[in-house]
Amino acid sequence: MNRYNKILAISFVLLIILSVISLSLGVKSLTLETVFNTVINGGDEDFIINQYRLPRIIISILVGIGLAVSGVLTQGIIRNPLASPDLMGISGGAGLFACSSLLIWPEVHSALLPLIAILGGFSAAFLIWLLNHFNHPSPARLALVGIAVSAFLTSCINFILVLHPVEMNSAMIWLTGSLWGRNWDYIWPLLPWLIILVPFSFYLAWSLDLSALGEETATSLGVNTERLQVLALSSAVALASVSVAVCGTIGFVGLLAPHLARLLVGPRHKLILPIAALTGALLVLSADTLSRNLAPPLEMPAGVLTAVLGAPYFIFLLYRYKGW
Amino acid sequence: MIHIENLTVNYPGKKVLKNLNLSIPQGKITALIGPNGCGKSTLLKAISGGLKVAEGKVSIVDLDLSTLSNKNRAKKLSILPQSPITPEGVTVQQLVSFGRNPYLSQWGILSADDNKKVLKALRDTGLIELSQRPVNALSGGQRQRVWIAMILAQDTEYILLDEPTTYLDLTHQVELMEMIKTMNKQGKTIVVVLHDLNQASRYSDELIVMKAGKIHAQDSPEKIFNSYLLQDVFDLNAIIINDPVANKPMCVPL
Amino acid sequence: MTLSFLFPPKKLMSVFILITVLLMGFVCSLYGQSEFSLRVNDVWNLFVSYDKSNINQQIILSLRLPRSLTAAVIGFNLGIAGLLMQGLTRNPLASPTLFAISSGAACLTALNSLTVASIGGLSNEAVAFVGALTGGGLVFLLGGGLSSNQNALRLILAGIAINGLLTSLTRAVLIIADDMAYSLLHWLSGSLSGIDWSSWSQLWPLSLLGLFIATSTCRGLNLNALGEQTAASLGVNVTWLRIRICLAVLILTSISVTVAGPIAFVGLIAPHLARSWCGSNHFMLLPAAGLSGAALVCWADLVSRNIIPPAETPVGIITALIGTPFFIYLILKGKR
Repeated sequence: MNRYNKILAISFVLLIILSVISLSLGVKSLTLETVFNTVINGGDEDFIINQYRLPRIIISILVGIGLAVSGVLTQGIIRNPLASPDLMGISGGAGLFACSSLLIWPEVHSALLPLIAILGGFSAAFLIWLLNHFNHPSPARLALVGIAVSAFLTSCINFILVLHPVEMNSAMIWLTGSLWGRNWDYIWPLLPWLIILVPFSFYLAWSLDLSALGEETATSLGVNTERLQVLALSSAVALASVSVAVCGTIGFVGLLAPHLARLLVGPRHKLILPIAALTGALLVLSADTLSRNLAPPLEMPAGVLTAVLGAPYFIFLLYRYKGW
Repeated sequence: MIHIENLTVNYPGKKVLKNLNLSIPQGKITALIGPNGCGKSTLLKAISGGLKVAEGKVSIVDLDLSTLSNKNRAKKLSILPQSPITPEGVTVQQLVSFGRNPYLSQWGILSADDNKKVLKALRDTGLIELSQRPVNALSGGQRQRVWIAMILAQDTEYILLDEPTTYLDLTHQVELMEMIKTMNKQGKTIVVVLHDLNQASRYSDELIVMKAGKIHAQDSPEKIFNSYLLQDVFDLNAIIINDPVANKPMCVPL
Repeated sequence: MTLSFLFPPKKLMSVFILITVLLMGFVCSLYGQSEFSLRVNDVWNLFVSYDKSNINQQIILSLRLPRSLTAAVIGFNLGIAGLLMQGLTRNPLASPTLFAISSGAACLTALNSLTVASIGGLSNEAVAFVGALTGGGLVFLLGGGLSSNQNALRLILAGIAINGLLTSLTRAVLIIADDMAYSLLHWLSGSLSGIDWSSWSQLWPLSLLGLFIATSTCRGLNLNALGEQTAASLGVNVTWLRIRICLAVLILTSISVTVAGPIAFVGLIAPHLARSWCGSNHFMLLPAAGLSGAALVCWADLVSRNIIPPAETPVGIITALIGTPFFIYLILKGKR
């Protein structure tokens, strides 16, 4: 079995194992046998396992995949290692819209918040795209405009928070990203996007490889670079926005997963995408599992733990990587 | 035959090429020479579709290139830019197989025939043993051969090369120009921008001399490569002697 | 004989304009917006005919002057640090934040606020300083700072990793200790309130040192822009250059973060402003980036006191708010 398949298999198996562990751990720890029985047949623990933990685990995996794939697409187009979906203003836009609505309208229905967030994310991305398109668009300029707009939006968020310190805590938690209280209702809005856009990213994978050769060469080889940019970036924005809508801004996954995948399996996008997706899923899932189990029944938002878990592994990889 | 009519290309603030009319002969090696900033690279990029053309059209035989989709144009015409970017980790074989892109579907899966063409390109450029090495780990000369192999794999009738010999030492420059000659013998029409006037004279069938965005002269080297031209266009005092090996004019600066 | 000597080259003009803008911001912040009605006259008199008994002058001298000077110098430091980071990594998105200096300081400060007694018995500022140095040191070591193998990407990735880690830890603390969160968040957004002459005395020696080291890297940075291999072949000792750049960034940013908390965005935008006015020669860019940063922070400080008077908005928020439109305008105006 060649190296790539080995890595793929290991990641997949790890994900399964982690899911099972996550199902059994919690405020009330259950044996594996109980877990299996309940998933298949229902029973006494049906609420905890099937209504509480299982949807959370599935959402963690889906969100992790969404953010990771979004990151791969963003870095594939912008070609700057510092690029991430955050650069497209998604966290900033979503966060700003969400925070403002939380503050102006504290009783906002929790189902509306995701929609407001998506609207914010898309608006910010559209603004960045528009600004870039104004005059000689290029991926490099897109990144610069993106980082500027994101910083601006983040400052606006901080400004609001400073003005309204009382409401700060709930806003902070939403901003940091958390899967608390996410149940089956949250999966249905998420799933269709992933089912369509993840295979679509595979469709774009080969063209992304070519675009890494630079605008001139890629065009010479027949790639329609402008169309590729629009397709890839809109998919990235969509994937990231729905993830943010469902659980707030979980940072770091979109930035880290592509790099991790690239360090492990090289530059080809068809190989990077699955590994990045699995990495993202593992990251968010372990963050959520940890968040539930660190000091139960209290929860540390998962968004904080993604970096705490992901960074050390990444550091380890950087240390070991010989390819410099 | 590449036919260029009334071509105007602008960079922000200035016109680089203005109402250019030009025909590039079929099946020959045409060298584009001229002083820095005369518009040679711009012309090449405009032909290949890499630059937006303000006015005018480029056509191959009777086919207007702007009517073709990117992929279809890439099947007819390939260009090797001046400083191509090689992403980290890409192997020689992978890079060469990128050349087959115009013939592939969006999924990028190579057929048996595509693989055959990739292997042939690797063989023709002597890169078979290096095919699994990362391109960035190769020397300058080897890397340029990889890019040529990619162009060969693209298998187009018209090949444009923008200063392909610039970063190479003399041995590799000669090697590259010989490879270009071989490609031409296989029926390809080649347009190459060169800085080295003697190389241009030696290897080309037709010379196009540009100055300040206009075509100054166009004909075979024997007919136009003389001291007046060099003085007029390049402000260079030189005498012309006969290259004893290639039997072509050669300039020796005074 | 033309009169061209009357019209200095564009780059010098830009620097001249920058200095003027900076001075204006500086002077305005000396007397602007106060409960005591300070006026320009007071500033003028302070420097020209100092009167010890004049209250206004005393206020300016003991409160405003150190604050404005500190703001200017911090902006100067961060601007230069940003320029050096972007030059080292050849990445226009790089900034001192990448070096995890601010996040290191923030993290250790946050952890410190959790414990009852201070860590190691150090003052708050010392804790921030140690945190800053630790963060930067970690990125430097992990990013292959000392190795002879040159790779800008490695440094960037190391920065991403460590920065992410430290920022998250900080956020975790903010959430756990939410009663402390407000004051922490205030510090985390960068604040110039409470700056006095003792802060200034902490700031200027290290800033001077950092500036000195930074200036020595200009020549190397010009060549580094061509790529590490080309620079090496032109005689630059790339490892030694990298060490000096990182040292300068570390010193300049650490001391700035210690005194006023992390002020975001200055290190990112000041180099771009400088580049759009002064080309790409680092000998010109260095002072230009410094002056741009200084001007930005001075004006941000002025605005921060005026947005919701009499309360102060943390200056770090304002730098992004006023800097961004300007930044975007420049990007869009640029040719490529």
